[in-house]
Amino acid sequence: MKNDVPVQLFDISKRFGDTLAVDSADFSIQKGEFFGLLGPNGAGKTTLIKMLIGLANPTEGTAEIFGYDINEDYQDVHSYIGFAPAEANLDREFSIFDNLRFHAGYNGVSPREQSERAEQQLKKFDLWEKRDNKPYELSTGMRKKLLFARSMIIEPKIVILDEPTAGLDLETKEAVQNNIKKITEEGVTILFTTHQIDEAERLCDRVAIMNEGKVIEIGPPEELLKSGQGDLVRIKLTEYIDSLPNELTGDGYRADFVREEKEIKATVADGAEAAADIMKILHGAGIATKAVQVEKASLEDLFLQLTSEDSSEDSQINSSGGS
Amino acid sequence: MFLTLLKREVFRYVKNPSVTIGTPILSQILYIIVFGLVLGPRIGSVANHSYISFMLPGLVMMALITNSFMNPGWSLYMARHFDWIDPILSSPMSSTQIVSAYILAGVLRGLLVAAVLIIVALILPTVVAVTHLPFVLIYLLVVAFLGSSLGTIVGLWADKFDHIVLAQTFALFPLVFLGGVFYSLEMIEDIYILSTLVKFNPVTHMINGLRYGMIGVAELYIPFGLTGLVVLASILFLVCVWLFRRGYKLRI
Repeated sequence: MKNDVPVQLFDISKRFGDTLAVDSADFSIQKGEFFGLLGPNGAGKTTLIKMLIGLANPTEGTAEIFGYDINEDYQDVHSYIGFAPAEANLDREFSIFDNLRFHAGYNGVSPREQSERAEQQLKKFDLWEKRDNKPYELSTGMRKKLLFARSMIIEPKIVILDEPTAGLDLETKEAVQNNIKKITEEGVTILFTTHQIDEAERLCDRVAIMNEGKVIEIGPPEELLKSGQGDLVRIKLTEYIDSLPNELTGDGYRADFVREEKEIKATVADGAEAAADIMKILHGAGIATKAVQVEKASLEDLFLQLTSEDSSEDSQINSSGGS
Repeated sequence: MFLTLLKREVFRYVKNPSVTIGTPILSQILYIIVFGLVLGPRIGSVANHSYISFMLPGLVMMALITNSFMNPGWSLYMARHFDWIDPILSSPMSSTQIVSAYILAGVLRGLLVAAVLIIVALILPTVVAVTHLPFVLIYLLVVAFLGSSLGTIVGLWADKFDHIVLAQTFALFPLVFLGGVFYSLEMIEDIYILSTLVKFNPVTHMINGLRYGMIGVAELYIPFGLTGLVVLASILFLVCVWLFRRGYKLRI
């Protein structure tokens, strides 16, 4: 290792034609940290990860893994990283036991140890009974667990997990999350992407919120909540409305109309004050209300607020009528 | 690392011997039966050898180059198509190690098929199979390496399975069939264009060299042909490594 910083990005960018998939990402991840990358589809999370593991060439900038440059010292870089992709890229021609053995071998594990480690990982992830099955004979949840097991077989210093719990039933999701927690206790640095904000809020030491290739916020979930607009105001309406009053589309509020629930949602700094103000505006516009509720905004509310803000700069209010 | 990938690539065809090894051997044996044993006696001797002895080096070369070409071509295409190349690319293996493993696995498959064919030929009556053993070994190795390197490039280039078939049908087969598998250069010397083009065909030099090794007959200058083939194989290998380093159709 050249230094103690597992991941350090230096204005790294990736362009596909006119599209900037990753726009000057510049942050670091500390040793033993559980770091989450949040963002909607197409935000650039997977592309960013792919650049770190040698599956995408950066257009500009670079990154270092423990001080090793991802392009120039790629062999050193790859020896530190275990990666579990979102989509299963398992070898269909061989059993899952062979998949793990070969993966260990590709990463320099000795032939004798390859089988031992494969057995150990399969047992750890409750897949030992399926060892002779081909990957396509497994369920989605089992494949996810196998990908996770594969990433761990090389005993990495950094584990990168791309949507590790997406599409899993609750039981399997919990099992995978427990396994992730266990490896953090061993001092392994984790970088993972997710759509599930509650998961990030619960598991991560820090999160970076990405949208349209940019990292728009970064920090511990609780600090992001403090720095963002902290309260969520929900106002139930008696009937549907076609659009929000103009006063709610200014800079003061970031409101969202949820058609199915005949509800207006807004994340604001001071819930009590804003609720009274919004009610006044609604009554002034002839819109009848049924109930008002003020609660603490979650990371999900902040995430939605930030990503909607970023993608429609000139419109602070979304009238998401079909949501 | 390299050895694991090589092992994986060899296991791939060893565990499916009827398809990967049996099929090419059967097709070449059919050629031997039909062209060598049935039609051969009617054609008579060629360059003072029975037709089957003359044709055999061409058949061995055809099997060798086709199999060493198809193995990495197909395997790499599949690995890219189903993304199982990604863990290999994300491993600490260098591009040279990855390329070498794919090529060597193809070389071994080609040699395996060629060896079985030569053994079968040795059993047949009136067949002279090995006159100059070092030449046989050198030519088998160089050609297998060349075919496997070419297959690696095609495996990288192909976006669908049809592309591999396309390369085989429109590039490899014409070169092989016009490379003197079934005829001597003397037989086509009246067809000026063909006899000239054939001399520039690398496959003609492959077959010429192996024929010299097997039955002691050479119609073209061996040192020139061998040097050319070694240079061509080296260039193709370097191209493979360069394409891998660049991430051609491997990285986004």
